[in-house]
Amino acid sequence: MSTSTKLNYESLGNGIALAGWFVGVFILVTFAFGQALQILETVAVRWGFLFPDWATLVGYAVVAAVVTVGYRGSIDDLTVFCVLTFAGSLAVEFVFGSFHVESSWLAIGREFALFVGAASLAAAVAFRSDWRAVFRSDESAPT
Amino acid sequence: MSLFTRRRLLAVAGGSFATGAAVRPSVVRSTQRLDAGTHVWPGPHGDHRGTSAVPSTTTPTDVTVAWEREYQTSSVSAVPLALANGTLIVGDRDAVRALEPTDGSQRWAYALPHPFADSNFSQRNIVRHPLWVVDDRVLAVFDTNVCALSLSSGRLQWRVRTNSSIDSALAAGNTVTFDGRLSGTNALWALDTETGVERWTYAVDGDRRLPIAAIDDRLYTVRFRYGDRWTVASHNLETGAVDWRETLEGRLLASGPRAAVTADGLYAGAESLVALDRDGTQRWQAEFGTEFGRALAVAHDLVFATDVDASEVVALEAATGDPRWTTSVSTLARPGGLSVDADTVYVSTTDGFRALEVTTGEERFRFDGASTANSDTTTNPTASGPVIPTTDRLYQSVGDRVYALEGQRT
Repeated sequence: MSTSTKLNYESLGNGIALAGWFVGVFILVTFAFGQALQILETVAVRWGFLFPDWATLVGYAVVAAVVTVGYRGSIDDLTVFCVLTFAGSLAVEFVFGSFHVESSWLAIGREFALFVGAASLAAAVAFRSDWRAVFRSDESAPT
Repeated sequence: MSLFTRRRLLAVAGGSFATGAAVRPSVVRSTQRLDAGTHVWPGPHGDHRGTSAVPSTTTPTDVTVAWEREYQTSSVSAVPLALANGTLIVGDRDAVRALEPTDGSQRWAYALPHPFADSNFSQRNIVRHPLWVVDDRVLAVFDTNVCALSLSSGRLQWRVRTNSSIDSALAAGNTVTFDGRLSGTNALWALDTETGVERWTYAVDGDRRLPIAAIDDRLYTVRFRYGDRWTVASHNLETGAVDWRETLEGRLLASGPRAAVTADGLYAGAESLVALDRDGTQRWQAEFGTEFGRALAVAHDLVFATDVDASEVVALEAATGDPRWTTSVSTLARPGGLSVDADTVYVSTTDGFRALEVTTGEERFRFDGASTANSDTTTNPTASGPVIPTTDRLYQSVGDRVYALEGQRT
């Protein structure tokens, strides 16, 4: 008597979809949380630790895994949040200026506050506003 | 009801941006001071003036070894030393160490962690010259990192990463200046020693300027030029702006410039020794051999320098450059050091030092018991650091060994 393994195409499909989600979220969080990980690394150095280069990838992967498993909202909203957080971080550095975050706890706190500000603004737009209205065509608008 | 409402998110954003706008670098960094400080020997050549002179008045007549320790050095120079607040700071190959001056015991050691550290030092952050002590902080360069450590505990207080090697660093008051590439800009940088926050940068033409000495509110730098020319410039220490610059003939030493400044003038050693007035006017130039002025000390209206080709120490009148005396020393260290106290000039040799009478150059006593035998083949066996004379003891690094010498007085 011989046995054969049946391929569960449903599970395989779910796995591939989840992996695709993870890769997409990983790319998004590298944009959004790069600044936050730099601040975290700086804090670690002040405590006498120095992250190896691969630790940054691990950090992104952990954040991406948490978001992949825990986030149940729209991927569109998440995309808008991550892109706006990244753009916001660049904008606040341009507007408010930047100095070395490794220099002092006060400077580290300032950089963290600016990142939180950019992320909060991005979250307000992405998750708490009807940002899709911007892209609706005029024909769909009520007359 | 959601915790993160739009109103709350916008309020957090507004508060954060208000914080960012309020905490400017001018708020974070400390008020600039220009005083010389109170440390005995805070830098590689005494204080930021680089004169290698201390006001000690109790010169011994002979010395005996109180203790000695062996370390590793990362360059052709001897192990760098600094002495401040009763603590002897040693630049080991991959760690800064604080020693108890009385018995040489270690109080603390700090090595900047490297992500791929291994046992054969090929992946360590190496301690580079020089070390400086400002107030209660030790300023050290670990490869491309400028770090401030607590003098009492060795704890890291701040770090600034650069994108290039740092050839020269100088601390004056509570400001540390260095050359390097930072944030994509090749410039002369000035940081607050208390926080590491930038005070100013000078990057007019993108050339590297090495800080060499400072006095009052003036910082002096040298810039390498193509061909046999180099430029010395005077900067305002509060803004970095250049007051004057003077291009001089001659080749700067590959190991780095050596300079000292007093109220009367600036003395810089290259192929020859050049004396400039504080306004940049060249006063005199002295040529003895090919590396005259590699070791330099200024005190008692005299400029002391070594002529390694002729194995001689020369004392010149600071005002005119006329030779006062010349003394032959057969085992001059390369690179070596000179230091001066009330009545003695100490000349570093490959086996210790010679103590010479300031006014005549006659030998008073010597220490020639230093051993340069070591297992580390990277150490230059002819390198020797300047003697640090104090009231109680003398400290010196010879090759990879650090000596504390007990003075005997009759």
